Amino acid sequence: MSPDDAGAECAELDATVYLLRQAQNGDQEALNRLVARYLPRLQRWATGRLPNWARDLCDTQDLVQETVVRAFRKIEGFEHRGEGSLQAYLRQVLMNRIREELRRVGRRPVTEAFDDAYPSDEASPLEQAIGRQGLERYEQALQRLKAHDREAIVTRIELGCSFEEVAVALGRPTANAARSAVNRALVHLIEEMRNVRTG
Amino acid sequence: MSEQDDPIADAIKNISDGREIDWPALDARIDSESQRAFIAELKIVAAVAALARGSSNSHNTLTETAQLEPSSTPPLVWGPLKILERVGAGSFGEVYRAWDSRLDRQVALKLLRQRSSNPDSLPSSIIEEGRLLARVRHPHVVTVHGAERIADTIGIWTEFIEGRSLADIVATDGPLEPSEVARIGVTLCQALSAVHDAGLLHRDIKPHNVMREPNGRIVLMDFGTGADRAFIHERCAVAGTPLFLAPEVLEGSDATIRSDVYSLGASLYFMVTGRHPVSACTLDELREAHRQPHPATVRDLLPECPQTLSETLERVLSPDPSERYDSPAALEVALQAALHPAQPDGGARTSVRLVAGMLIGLLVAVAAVASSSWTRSPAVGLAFEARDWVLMMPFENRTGDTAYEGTLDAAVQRELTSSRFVNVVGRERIDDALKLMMRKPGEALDVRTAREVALRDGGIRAILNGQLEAHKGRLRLTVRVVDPSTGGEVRSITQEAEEARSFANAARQLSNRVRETLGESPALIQESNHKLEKVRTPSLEALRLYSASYQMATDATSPTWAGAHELVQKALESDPDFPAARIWHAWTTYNLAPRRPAAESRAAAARALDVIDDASDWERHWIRGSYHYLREEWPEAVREYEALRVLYPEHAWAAVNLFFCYRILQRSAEAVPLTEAMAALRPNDVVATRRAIFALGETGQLGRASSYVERLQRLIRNREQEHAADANLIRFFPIHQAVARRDATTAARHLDQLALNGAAWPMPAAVRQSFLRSLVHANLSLGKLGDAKHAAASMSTEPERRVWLARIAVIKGELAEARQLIEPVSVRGLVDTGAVGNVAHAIGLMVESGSVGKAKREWQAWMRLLSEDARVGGILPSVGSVTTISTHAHLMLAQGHRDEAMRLFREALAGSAEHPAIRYRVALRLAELLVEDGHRKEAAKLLNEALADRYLRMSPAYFPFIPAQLTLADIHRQLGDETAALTLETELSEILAEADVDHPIAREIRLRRSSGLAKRQ
Repeated sequence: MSPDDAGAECAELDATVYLLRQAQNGDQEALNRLVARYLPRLQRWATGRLPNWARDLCDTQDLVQETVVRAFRKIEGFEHRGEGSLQAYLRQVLMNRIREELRRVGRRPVTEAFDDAYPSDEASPLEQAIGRQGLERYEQALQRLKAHDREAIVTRIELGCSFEEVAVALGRPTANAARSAVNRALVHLIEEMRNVRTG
Repeated sequence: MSEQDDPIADAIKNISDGREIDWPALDARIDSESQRAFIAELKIVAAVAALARGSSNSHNTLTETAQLEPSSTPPLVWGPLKILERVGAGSFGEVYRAWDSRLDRQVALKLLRQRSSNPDSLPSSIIEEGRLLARVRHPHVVTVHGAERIADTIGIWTEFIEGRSLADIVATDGPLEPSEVARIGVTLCQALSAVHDAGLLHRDIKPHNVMREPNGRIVLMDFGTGADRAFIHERCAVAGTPLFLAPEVLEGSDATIRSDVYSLGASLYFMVTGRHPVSACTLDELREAHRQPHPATVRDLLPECPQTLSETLERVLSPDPSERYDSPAALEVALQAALHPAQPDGGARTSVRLVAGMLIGLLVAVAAVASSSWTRSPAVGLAFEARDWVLMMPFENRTGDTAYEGTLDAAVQRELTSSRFVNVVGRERIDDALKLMMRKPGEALDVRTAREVALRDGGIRAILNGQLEAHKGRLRLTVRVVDPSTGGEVRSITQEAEEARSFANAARQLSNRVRETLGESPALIQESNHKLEKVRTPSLEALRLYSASYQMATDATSPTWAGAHELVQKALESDPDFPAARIWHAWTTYNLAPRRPAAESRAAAARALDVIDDASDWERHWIRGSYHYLREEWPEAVREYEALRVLYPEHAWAAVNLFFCYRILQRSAEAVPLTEAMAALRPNDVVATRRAIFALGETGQLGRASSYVERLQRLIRNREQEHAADANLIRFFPIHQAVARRDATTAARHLDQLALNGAAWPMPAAVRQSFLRSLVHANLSLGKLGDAKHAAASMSTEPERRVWLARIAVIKGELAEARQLIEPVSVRGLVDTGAVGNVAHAIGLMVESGSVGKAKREWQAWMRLLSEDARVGGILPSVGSVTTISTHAHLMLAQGHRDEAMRLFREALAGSAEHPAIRYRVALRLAELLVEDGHRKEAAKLLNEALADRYLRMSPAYFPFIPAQLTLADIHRQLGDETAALTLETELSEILAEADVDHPIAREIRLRRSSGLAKRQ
């Protein structure tokens, strides 16, 4: 395989595509490698999205792992356009799963009256930081973005990938190009958030 | 606006680049409303980005592969190599998959960060070692291609090994077969010999550094770089390396060939047992553990391990280096001997053993049958009493037929469930103990672990293990009762089944005998058997599937309702009329995600009702209770679950469901004893313990609560950082107790200590805020305004800091200062910064400090937000809540609408049963109004009732009782009841004994007491 720039990136992408295909065919090893690649970031991301009381009931690590593994297994319908789209897809699957989990647990009223010492019990760390309405506006706006903008936000802002990694994910030639893409996406995101508020 | 002066673009770049933004400075640069709106949204996105960057509150689980945060962005190119992706990290540096264009292949590049803090590191020697290593060419040693230093980073690149480390393999698939471990050992000895022949030492042999490629090739890699003593000292047991280090190296000696051999042996030990030969949580503990005599016999853990291998490992793990093998080659010889024992054919031996075993087995069975007829005695020495717990280890299926997998377990468990004398420990409770032992929940148990779990748990008095064997169509069921305190077998019970059909009966007989062994009276056993005879016995297959399903959903490591659902459906296919399975199916349906329509689970529950006559007595209550619960018919559910708990107190799900029912029905008083019952069911669970503490504390049972506080302390020992909020609860508890006793001196002493030490304890920001808030509350309840102010001033969340400082100012009567403090606070601001809990408090302060106009404006803003922005509804107190009504009432009063205010105060009072702080304030105002109108008696009665629980509740947050109590004393005096007034004033003087000299109420009390004394003289 030719090791020049484009080649190396193709090698990178192909690896994921290859792994995905293998995973779908039941290759445990491929699945493990895929999971290992994405798991740590997604776990960190998920920790910010689950409130403490829900974390007691279902181990975040296992929730994420289970969701990611299942997502990779059932990935037939997914059009793999690049790393970025895969990351955004995983993030969305995980987000949905977390929502379900919260709803399921939320059916049992956790009216613990000791909010004094446990202020974080009712809200996830992120919710605490920005409030529920802000968070919902952000989520709605994120979904309304064009796919490439969303991928830029997910990979850089949410999952904390480096610009080099974002470049590979979005199929951009350089880190700086990736940075510009992220900046543009941020502007679009905020415009969309304002639309959500007024619209 | 020019490019340079685009503050928004700058802010965007900062967020994108991951830099902190100076919001006030940014605010200063913008002037238009639309920019302001933009910035408001930007803050939200910045928060999301900050979360991704910052460290999360994740648990510090003890895993072998420590994951580190990604450091700076990885370079795209390093020397002659092109970096493709990061594949791992350690404390030494990072590992990447890279491309070597000269070799035209993939390589693994390890980049070592220069650790300037470490004076011992010798970078140049690493390069030298790398070059020496490159000379080692061995099929089982990772090939080193090159080592180079560029700038201040050293890189070593090697062949890229695909596959899994042996640590991973053991972690996921469990320990390996002894023979395989011996074979791997031989390979590694050869590899290590090659390394030593090149004049090098490995220094860091551990299962994580041995890879197995997909084709089976074993590769030794990751040589310990540098003779870093500091490196060893830096690590604690979390990363795992010291657990395989030779004891003399831990003590500071240099690494040697023999220490490498030790590490190899320790790795083999790990591979075959899944355990470390010596383990601990800190370096000091580890050294200590090595110094203790520890017969680390492999055969303890693995009885079927060949003698030779076990002895070899024991020798190689000797603490004294001179007793070990003096080289890998010598170890290799020993391992080869273990693989090829010079004894008669292994196969023949096995079969001889089997026959002999069966003969003996038959004899035992006969003896057992014979003995059971005349000796129905409980086991001597076993301290088992009624309602004690028994831990069931998984029974071995030695029939060779996988269809029997788990059948004996399910059958025995079912039988034991019908006993009121014996309780079987659930998986969750086992996992709680495992977590305490720093082990992975869900771990399969061996006898040694089971004993430790029993010891940690405290309530487990017997362990059961056993097996199922088959011979010529006949089945032999064996159960052994083991005493956890000694590990000794107390009794071995065997039952034969003529054929598969009589299995259930044999299981019952077996279980009956187990119950007798544990001390249950034969009469009780007979009685429960009679009852069960009327109950339909489910098919064995269905029972097994149902039990597995139940277990899966109760399994704390990965509660997979989807999996449980599948299993119980299969159970129902096998036996459609199995009542317990039918109701369980309703629950699995209910808990599926994505959510199924409620009708589905309700229909499933109804189907369970159809066959309820076939169910045992407690099962019927479980079915009916669940049926009602799923239909949200709470009072009926309560009735059934309460009946169930009389018959079967240990039913964990019933306890949880009942708890929620009580809360929904606001029957908190009944919820409290239930929290204690739930804590008893899971004595090592942090959440259950905490819940019990709060429930008891809220109802004034601090004495009872204190035993749970002790338990909580034990449970979170060494994990305070992870459980920071619980650690604070424990710290504040003595203060709660002292305040409840009105022992101000003791409370003040504790409080001073906390304030002093508090800064040093590690806590996440939200917990620190709560800690400071608790300090403020406690100080206010003792009248220590200065200390309260100090604590409030230390708060880092701005609006709340102001709010508390304003509250303190109001208490001191410094209204102007309070007004100034509360001036910049707005509802909008509180919502935007997520500090919504302070909204009502802030508006109340505006009223009290005299900024009535501002209070009105903010109130309107609050109402507007509630009506315009539906999403806000979830976080701001809603229109009908007690908080809102009470705030409104205060506002009405301040604006002169007296009648309206009184109406609202009454309304608030009526709904404030669960909100003491609001209740005290509201009652005070209402009483004042009533006194104005001449209704003193009513005022006194009202205040008395409202204050009834003031010293019972576990939270000094309820300090507003102080002014209320003073007013009540006044009213009593006005009504002529001097005694009552004096009693109340004495109480106040006790609680305010440590108050600041200028505390208004403390001063007033002092005046009254001195003038009162004067009067009496």
